Amino acid sequence: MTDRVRVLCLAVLGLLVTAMITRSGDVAWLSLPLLAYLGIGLWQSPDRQKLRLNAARTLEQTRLDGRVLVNTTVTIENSSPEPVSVCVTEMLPENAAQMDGSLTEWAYLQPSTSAVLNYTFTTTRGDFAWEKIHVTAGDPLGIISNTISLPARGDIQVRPSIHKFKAFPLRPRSTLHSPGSIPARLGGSGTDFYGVREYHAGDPLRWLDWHQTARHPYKFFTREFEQEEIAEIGLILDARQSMELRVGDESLFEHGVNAAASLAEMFIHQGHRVSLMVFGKRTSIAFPGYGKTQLHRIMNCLSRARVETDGQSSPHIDFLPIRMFPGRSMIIVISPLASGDLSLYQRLRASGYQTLLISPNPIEFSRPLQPDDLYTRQAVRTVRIERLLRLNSIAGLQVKVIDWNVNQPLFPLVRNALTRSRGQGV
Amino acid sequence: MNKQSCPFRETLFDASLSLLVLSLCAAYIMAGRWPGALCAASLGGLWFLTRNHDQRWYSHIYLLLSLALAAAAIMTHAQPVPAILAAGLSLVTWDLNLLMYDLRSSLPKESTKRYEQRHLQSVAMASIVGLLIALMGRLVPLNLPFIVLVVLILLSLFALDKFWRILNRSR
Repeated sequence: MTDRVRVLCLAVLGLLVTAMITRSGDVAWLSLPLLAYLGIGLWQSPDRQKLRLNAARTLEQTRLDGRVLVNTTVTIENSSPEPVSVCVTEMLPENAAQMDGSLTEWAYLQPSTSAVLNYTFTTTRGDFAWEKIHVTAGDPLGIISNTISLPARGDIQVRPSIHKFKAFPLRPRSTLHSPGSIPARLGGSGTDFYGVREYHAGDPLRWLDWHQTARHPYKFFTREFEQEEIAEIGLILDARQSMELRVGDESLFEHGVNAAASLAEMFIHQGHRVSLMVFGKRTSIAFPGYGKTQLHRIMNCLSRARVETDGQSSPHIDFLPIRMFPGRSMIIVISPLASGDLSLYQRLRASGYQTLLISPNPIEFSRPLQPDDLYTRQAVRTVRIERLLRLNSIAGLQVKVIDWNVNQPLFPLVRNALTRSRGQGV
Repeated sequence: MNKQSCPFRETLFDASLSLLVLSLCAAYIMAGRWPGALCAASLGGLWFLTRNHDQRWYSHIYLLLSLALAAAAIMTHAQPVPAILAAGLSLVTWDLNLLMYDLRSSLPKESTKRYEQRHLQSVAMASIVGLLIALMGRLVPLNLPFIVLVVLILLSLFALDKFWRILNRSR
């Protein structure tokens, strides 16, 4: 029952009752245009039994100026034998903002014709799915209208933005026994000369070291090359509620997500085995793996990563299941740092993990919100000192620390931290 | 989100509203009821100023008020023909106002233009048919006894109630 019909029926009722009370036939005639309007609407309404509408949805994702734009096109086709007036309405997903087009489309469809609803929205990362679209079909005057839900399936995943990091030589303390690019300080097949040993049956003849062989009669010697292996890397993204800070449209957590995505992409591209844990109210894990499939898994995880802000407290960092990471792997933690987090790094070092902390600086990030007065400056100075002491106590555990101002590129800091020789730093 | 306005739609609305006000004023002035004419003019002015309002119920209120003014004109012994014209024109004005509201967030596409054309054709048909029947009823004198008129009205109310139930069932 549309509001038009309610109003018209009320008006007709009022006029007829008034005509009866005042015994005036002319007042009753006033209701005739309204009754004709209702009658014409009823006459032009399509037969509900014969109504056949089909819907199809297409989605297209593009990146422009660092934003993700999703273009949605919904086509409604009239497969019924009668013309029909339709109103197509679409709802935007949560946290999406419309950029172009219209969310409502009115159309008069003859048989076998179609109408197109097209709009573009921008959103942060996540999984978005549509099952149906609501269409109101009826007569041109809107007297008889039927709301139908047509199946119009579509799904799209918006991934975090990746800043391409150039590959740099990694020097972890231990490597995995799989062919890779990191010199493993072991003899084997490789490209860099490693040493000479006595010949064993089966060694390739082209590797014979003739100089040594000539000096030692009745013995043969083989050249050895340094084996190149891959590293085992674990990424931990801190998604606890207390770690989130928003300034306008920007979020400190989003910077952490983008950093994790960029690092994962770089390490997987170099052939290393990478795993991911997003630690928050809900912990999501991408177990160690290689290659594009693993990159997809990690991106899926990061696309869905959220800071839960439902008021309940996040789990303590002590409950982080570090045993998920294989022993002696390199762990990179991305966290703005809270007061009780020292215990995590103590546990990581005690378990033999090589650890790097990338800490987005919340004080510098929230600078636009800070009023410029004496008390604020003193408070900021105090907080800075507190943070510095915390970072220094973590650095004292032989954990490399990067105090990252998110307005600056992360890549040079990570490269400097990870390309030190094995005896230094990490 | 930019609001789309169509000059043609707005021109039609303005013309319809002007004719409505003129009809109502004419009905009251011919009966010598100047306050009624003033009310009609005020209603027209108010409707014109709030025609782009965000709330649909403004249009519903204006329709009911203009029909009430038309009925009041007849009851104060005004000429019925301008009052019946005013009833038809108030229906058209109300419908155009709602159409403007519905289509303001739509882009000017071919399918929307076809929808608008079809809608306007239907409104024109409904108003012309209704007015013709009403005016013909005025021209053809029917000396109906009051009881017959009451029965006809009750039958109309019954039909309306049936119509209401059909609509409710079709939801």
